[in-house]
This record gives sequence, C-alpha cells and structure tokens, in this order.
Amino acid sequence: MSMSQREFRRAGIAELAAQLRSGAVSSRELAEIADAALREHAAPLNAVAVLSSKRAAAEAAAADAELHAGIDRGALHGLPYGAKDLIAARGLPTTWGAAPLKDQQFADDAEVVRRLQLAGAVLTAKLATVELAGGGGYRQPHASLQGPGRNPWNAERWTGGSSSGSGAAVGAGAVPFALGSETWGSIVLPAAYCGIVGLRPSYGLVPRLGAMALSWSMDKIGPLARSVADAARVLEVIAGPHRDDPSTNGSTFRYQPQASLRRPRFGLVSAEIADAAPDIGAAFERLRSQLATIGDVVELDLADEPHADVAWLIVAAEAASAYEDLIESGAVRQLAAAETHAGFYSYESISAKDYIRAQRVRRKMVANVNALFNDVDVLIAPTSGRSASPIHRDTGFLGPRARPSDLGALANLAGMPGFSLPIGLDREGLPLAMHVVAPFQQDAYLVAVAERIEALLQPYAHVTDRG
Amino acid sequence: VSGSDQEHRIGLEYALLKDRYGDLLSAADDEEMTRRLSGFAAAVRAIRAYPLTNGDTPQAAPEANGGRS
Repeated sequence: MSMSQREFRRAGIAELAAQLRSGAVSSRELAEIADAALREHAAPLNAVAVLSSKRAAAEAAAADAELHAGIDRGALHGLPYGAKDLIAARGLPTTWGAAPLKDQQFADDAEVVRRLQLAGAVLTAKLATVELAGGGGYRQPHASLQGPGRNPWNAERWTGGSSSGSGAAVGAGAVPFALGSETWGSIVLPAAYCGIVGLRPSYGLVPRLGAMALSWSMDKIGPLARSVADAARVLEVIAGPHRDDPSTNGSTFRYQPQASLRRPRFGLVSAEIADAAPDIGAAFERLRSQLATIGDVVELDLADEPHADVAWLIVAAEAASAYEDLIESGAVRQLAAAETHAGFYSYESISAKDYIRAQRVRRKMVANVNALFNDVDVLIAPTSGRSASPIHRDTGFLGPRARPSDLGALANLAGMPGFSLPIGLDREGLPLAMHVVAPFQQDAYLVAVAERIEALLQPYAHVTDRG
Repeated sequence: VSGSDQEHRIGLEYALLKDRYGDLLSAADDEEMTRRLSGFAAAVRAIRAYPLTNGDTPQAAPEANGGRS
C-alpha cells in the first residue's frame, strides 16, 4: 500500500483527504488500513463492537468511483470512521453495549450516519459503549458488552465512558474520527483519557434520530477526533435540523478555519483547578501563562449550587422512562455491572414533583451561568481532575456527588458546547485535558477559540510516539 | 429531616419498589438499593433547599403549543 499503517494512524482529515485526491492512496486502501488498524490496535482494547468490513468496502468503492468521475463530496469523502454502538447502522447490530440487546438491529441508519454517508465517509466499525451509555450508574469499567474499555496509552487504565470505544479507537489511531454521544461527560471524558479532541455540540444542534435515548433533555451526539479542525469538519456534516427530531432547533454549523477573533477572555474555574491532581495543577499553571499571550485570563468560580444533584435526578428520571421496557421486563438484570440492576429500579423512587423541581432549578442555574459570560467568553476547567484510572478500580461515577467536574454537570444541564483538548501527559505518561465551554449555540465561536488554544498546545502527544 | 426519619422513608420507598417488582429485586440488591435511595434522598434535599418561587416556571412545553418548539 502507498500509505503505511503508521502514517495513517497519525494523519488527520486534511492530510488523508489530500493523499486521496493526489491519487497516492484510494478510499478502498484507507478502509483496508483502518480495518487492519482496528483489528490490531483497537480490538485488543475492547473498543470494537463490530467491524463493518463489507459495508466499508462498498462505501469505499463508491467513494473512489465518484472521485474518479470528478464528484467530490467534501473533506470527509472516502475517509473511514467509527460510530458508537448506540447509533444505528443498517445491516449491523446496534447493541447499545448491553447483553440483553446483543442481537438488536435497526432497518435504517441513524440520521448522523446517513449524513456522513452522503458526505462520502466510510463506516468501518461500530465502537464499544458502556452499556446503555452508563444510564444505570456504574462503578466498574467492565460495564460493557465488550468488556472493560482499555486505554491506548496504558491498557491497564480505563478509557473513560461512555463513548469508550470511540475514545480508544481514535486515540489508538485506528480511525481518524468517530461519533460519540454525551449526556453528561461521555464525549469529553474518553477524549481526555485517550489523549484526543472531543467536541460536545450544543443541545439540539445535531439530530438524534436513530440513536439510543438516555435522557431526552440532555443527550447530544458529537465527534471525537485528532484536532479541533477535524472535529469541526465532522460537526459541519452532522449538524442541522431535522423535521422529525423536535430537539433540533433550527441551528446549523459552518466551519470557518482560523476564523477571525477578538482577544478572548478566558474564565478559569479556580476551585476545579485547585482540586485537581498535582500534575494537572502544574499543567494549568503553564496553560495560564500560555493563554495570557493570546487573551485575558480571569479567575472565577461557579455558583455554589447543586449542579450535580440536579443533573443526576433529571438523567435518572428520564432514563427510567427511556428504559421502561428493559426495567419492567427485568432485562436490565442481564447487564454486566451488577450495581446497575438495583440502580435502574431505584430511579422509580424519584417523584414527578421532584423531577419537575429539578427542571425548574435547572433553569435558574442556567441563568446564573449565562451571567458569567458577561465577563468572560469561555469557561475553562480540567476535563477531569484525574488522569485515567486503573482498569479494575471503582470509576467513582455513581451517585449524584461523584462526577468529576462541576463545570461538566452545569454545561450539560445548560446544553452548552464544549471541547476537551489535550494539555500534555502526567508523570505516568497518561493524557491530561482541559474542558473549554462556550455559551449555548456558540459552537462556531467555541471552535475558533479552541483552534487558538490548540495552536499553543500542539503538537499533541500521540501513542505512536512511544515507539 | 432526622436520620431515623430519613431511614424510615428510604425503607418505605424500597418496600414499594419491592412490592412492584417482586422477584426482580433480590436480597443481593439490598445494599445497593439502599445506597442509591440514600443518594437520591440527599439530592432531593439539596434541590428542595434551592429557593424557588411560583414565578420560577419550568421551560415551556412544546406539546402544549401544537408541538412547535
């Protein structure tokens, strides 16, 4: 082949697209390289739910034929990708990572898969997810049909969840980008732990038709990739309203590379930086100086409000309804993580009144965080206060007060877009990351700011650097 | 709410869930269920302590507007 697997594993979308158009490599060859890389570098990490070799071959052949005929569908044309296994893909199982649904199939592609196919992208694999996207609350990284999500930087560490396979596959360089989903941390955390970029779009920007529902008022679909530009290129394709998805609100997204920007005001969330592990604190010290070269740095704190409590009550109450058939039938008892069995039944203890109160409190908290944006343009905190945890350790993700980031809870409640960007490695060689959050529907602004920040931080460390 | 009152309430909630789900909840679930119900009880206390007035309404319901959001 004209492109080595090592070159492929390090390449971004622009480089792959250029190689494709120069004739140096074909889409069929890229799909084959991705297939081999998934088998060698992602499957051993339990990142692959199912390979879609046959579908990929057909889509790659079509992409090659179109390019030869002068039809160019854009930046993603002919490029391989993976999708989290709670996103439907015709002809393939869509298990939601859950044993009781291991044979589940859907007749139609999810809308995001359909849009990527229209853009010429090639689906090479469904990628592992924590079972039911972690909707039952889980302590164990093994809470998945594929087993524990192992980290490409150290297989004895966790990937984070719930987009565990998407994080690991992109982190390992097996695909240049993947689709994930986030209700509360499920894109940004695997991106952080796996040393890649994760983009959580604004709520309602990307249609969710054909994707598993966990929490209707908080679920988002977004990309994990190797750079801000790559994530933005994927978002451009999957964003935009759909008449059958009432959560979409008419907003669209156009990627403008290196868009002009006045001097940004960065709001650093002091308490979360102070609470983080020492290596993260040191990385933020460096980051603070770097950010000051391109913008104004403001130290601030979020209001002392029960963000995580509200998020947990809302997710649990909505999950109890979303998974009603699995709960009522007892099928949840087949899930891998025993602690989720009782968890799903406990959700029914939340009264309608308390759920509604949580939504009302949510509205006030969102107003309060919106007020912070009078003084700053983006909010910044560590994506997680720790690097990837040992594969057999309790995730600590169970219960309303156990989530890693208050900003993460609040941003998801508010539907605000966020980027997780790598900021280096800790003393154990594990990736560290920052979470950049912009106001609701300011996705284009977020991308522009993230590109500026990324320019300070690159080149990102890559797993293949380890030799 | 005193500690004993809280434990009593959680016990009642668990009894209701056991009544509804019968065999689906086993003795092995007791500890986890108690932990979860305690967690929700704490979360509910936190949101009930958050000041709200009658005018602090939830978001408008698109369903009541002909389905238009």
